[in-house]
Amino acid sequence: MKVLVVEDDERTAGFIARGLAETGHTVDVARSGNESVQMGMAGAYDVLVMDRMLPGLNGLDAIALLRSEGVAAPVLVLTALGSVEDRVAGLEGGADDYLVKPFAFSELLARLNALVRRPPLSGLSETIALADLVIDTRRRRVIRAGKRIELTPQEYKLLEFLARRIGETVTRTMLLESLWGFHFDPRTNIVDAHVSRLRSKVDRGFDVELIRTLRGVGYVLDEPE
Amino acid sequence: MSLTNRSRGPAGLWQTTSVRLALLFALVFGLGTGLLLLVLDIAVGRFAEETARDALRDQVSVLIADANAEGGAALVASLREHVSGGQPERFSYLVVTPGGDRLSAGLPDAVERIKGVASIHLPVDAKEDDVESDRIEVIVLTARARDGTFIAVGRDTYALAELRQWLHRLALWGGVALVLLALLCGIAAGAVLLRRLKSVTEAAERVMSGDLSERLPSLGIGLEFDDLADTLNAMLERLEAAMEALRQVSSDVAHDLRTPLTRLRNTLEDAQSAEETERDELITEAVLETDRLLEIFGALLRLAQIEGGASRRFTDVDLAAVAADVVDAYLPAADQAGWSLTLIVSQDVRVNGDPTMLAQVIASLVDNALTHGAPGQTLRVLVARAGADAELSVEDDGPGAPAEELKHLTRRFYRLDRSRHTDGSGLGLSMVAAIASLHGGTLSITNRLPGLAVALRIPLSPS
Repeated sequence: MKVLVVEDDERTAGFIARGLAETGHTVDVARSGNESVQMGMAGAYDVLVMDRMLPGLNGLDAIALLRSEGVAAPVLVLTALGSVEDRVAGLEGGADDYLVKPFAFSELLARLNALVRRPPLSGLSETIALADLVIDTRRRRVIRAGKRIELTPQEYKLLEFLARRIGETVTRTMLLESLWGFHFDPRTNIVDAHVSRLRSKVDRGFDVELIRTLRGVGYVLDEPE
Repeated sequence: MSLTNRSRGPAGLWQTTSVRLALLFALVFGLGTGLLLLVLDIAVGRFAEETARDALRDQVSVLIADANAEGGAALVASLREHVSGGQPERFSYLVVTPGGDRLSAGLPDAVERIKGVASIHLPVDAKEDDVESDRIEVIVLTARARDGTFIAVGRDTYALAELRQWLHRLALWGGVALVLLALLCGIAAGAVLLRRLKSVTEAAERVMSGDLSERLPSLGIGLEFDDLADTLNAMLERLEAAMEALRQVSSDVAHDLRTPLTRLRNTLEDAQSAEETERDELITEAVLETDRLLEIFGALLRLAQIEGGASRRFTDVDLAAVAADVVDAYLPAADQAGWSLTLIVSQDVRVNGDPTMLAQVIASLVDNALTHGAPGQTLRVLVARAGADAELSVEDDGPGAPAEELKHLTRRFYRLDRSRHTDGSGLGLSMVAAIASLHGGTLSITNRLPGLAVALRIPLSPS
């Protein structure tokens, strides 16, 4: 995908640009809010990474300007302002996602992927199928290889979250925020425990493992090649 | 700007509340007196007029009866006799017979044109020296007897005029006295208030100049003012505590971040001189160390925000539901670690609070137990009512904490000796205590022998 990184700190910008380039993406870097508006309007980007505090035009103002110029690409705001209020202000100010510095590159990449492939909300399909796994989201039923699998509500919620993002990396933070509303980091690794429970029901005893762990990053629900 | 020299000139006095209040009182009293007078005046006038009419009607009907019985001429003759008797007379007459006989006593000929009742104004009788105006109102009632005799009887209103005059004087002097009294009282009360307030102002100025332990004196004027002083003192108390906490934090940060930073530096130095094979491992270690540092900074920042009260987003929270969500989130992890984690809810418990923070409290306490206890233990999250409070407690049957250290547990970076080797910033309980205090509640930590119980009490929702 084609990414515009708006970041005035050279080292941070370089770090993000290098990482994205290494994972096969095209990256441009803008150093200020004004520059980001010019480049964003000119260059058909798939997604923007926007620092919030920029010289001149700040990040949220730049987003507002881009939107008014008809630029619809999703924007991930990257910032050191991490309180709940700041996040809410950011999201209400037009950001599509929010990541607080310091961040792990894997987290950024996963969120960018999720933004670009986010399906329109109205178009959520009722049945999701992957290999021999079928999820009926209306009746909350899971069938694998023709056999009904009984899941607890928590396990089902986790599976549907992963299944809505087949092939995408889902990080622990994304799961903590979306599934349990934890806007803080618990010291106990509760996500791993949930995933391993889910895996014991969905994957154990079947030939193909659909839920994979990406070490230090998160999880992905996918059919192995 | 000088803080201590704020004396007021005459123009300043004009602006003080007491003078304004006194003026307002005077105005209100003055207006009140005027209004009262107006109402009295109207009521007295009506009453007098009605009485006069009744008397006139009686008198006229007597005269008509006489005239009908004996004829107009006889009436004129008898009236003339009566009038010339010389007694003081409140009635005045005009009688005209068709035959040309005429009696006129106190009423001008013009009243012959009146039909029924009318008020006329006549020059004041020289005898009535009490009345200040030169004309007096006379109410006249006229009628005709059967033989065509015209009869008019008038009644003057000297008595009413005198009453009115007296009322006006009373109102004027009474009003002036009341207004003066209101002014005096207002100014006196204001002076007392000003003097008391001055002592408060002086105390506040001492606080501003840096003496945070100074407290405002009680005003001694009334409950509301003492409440105000108490509230302001509570505010000062908080301010002093906050300043102290700030001093504490700065020194804590300086001391407690030194160790991990030194460790980080050592690791990086090692990496510089390490063999290629070891280097990766050392760098990974340095990254992990940095993450821990960042985590501590994040926790400090959040702690500061909570203690500053900046992030209050309170709503009506179902505490049991929040606890259930957190327990659900932790169940698999606790299970895997061999713990038995249960939630015990005895009643519906609602509080006014921040659901995310309350969830963080429970998560943090459960984290603590799981980190410091040993597998095979039980961990209970309890939500109950305790009087007007909601009580949220987390109990384990782990090793507990030495009694003499219990009160230090909520201090920043405070860690028990035996847990220094475990992960964690030493900020968890500080955060819990800060959240408790933000919710207007208290945190208590007790040894259960065996085990530790951490209980948070916050007021129930008012509804």
